[in-house]
Amino acid sequence: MDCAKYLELLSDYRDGALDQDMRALVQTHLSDCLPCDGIFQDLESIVNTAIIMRSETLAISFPDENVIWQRLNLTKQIIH
Amino acid sequence: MSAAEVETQPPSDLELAQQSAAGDTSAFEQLYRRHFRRVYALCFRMTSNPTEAEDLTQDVFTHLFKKIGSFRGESAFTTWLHRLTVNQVLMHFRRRSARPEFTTPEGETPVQIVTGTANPNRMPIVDRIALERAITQLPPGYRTVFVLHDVEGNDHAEIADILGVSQGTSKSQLHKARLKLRQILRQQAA
Repeated sequence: MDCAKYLELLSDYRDGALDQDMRALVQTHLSDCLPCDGIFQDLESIVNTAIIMRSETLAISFPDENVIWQRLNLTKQIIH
Repeated sequence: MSAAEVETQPPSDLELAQQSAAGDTSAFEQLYRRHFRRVYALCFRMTSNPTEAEDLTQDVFTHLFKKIGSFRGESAFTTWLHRLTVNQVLMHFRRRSARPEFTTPEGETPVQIVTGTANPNRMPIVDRIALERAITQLPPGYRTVFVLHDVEGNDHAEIADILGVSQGTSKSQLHKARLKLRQILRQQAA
């Protein structure tokens, strides 16, 4: 397989979705190919940051739920 | 469990949904307050825009009020509401997509896979703010799958169910989304 084929497998490799043989092939390629390994490390970094975002719901600035509830009531009156 | 404890148990989502369907607006308000933050957070993560997220949250609960009678409790209420929220955001993306965008016939923005070279082409260290900014630049299809999988933590079976696509499509979109994000983050740093 060439690099392009390995690149297609990087997300599945990262997510543990490859069978053992394919996983070993990718692992070997990454240890031999610096550019592909660089891309893999970048994807890993993106996913890890996304996972941090998942746990940072508190960082979201939530609007006042009372205001939206009031708007909702207005909407309901229009519906009815 | 004592009688007092039974009496103080909060009503389940299903009970509140049934009461709401029967016209009990105070039950619907309880559902709203219980799930408001979850719905807003999902809308915000998918749009990265607080104003759009607010409007969409309002749309979701308006739609929920109309549809609440169709919730039968076969799945968890949170799953059902999650699906309803994602569909509402996708409809919003579709309405907005009247804007010209470079997409393939499948609605995807072509990804130019940039083959890495040695370290000079590596992406800079990514932080949450840079990633949030990059996510806003993803085409809606990629953004949806990336947010649902990598940010929200859904698996491909759940995403396939929510979006009505195959698991293979979900996996493929996720991989392209990650590569596209890498490309965007590298461009941001250039």
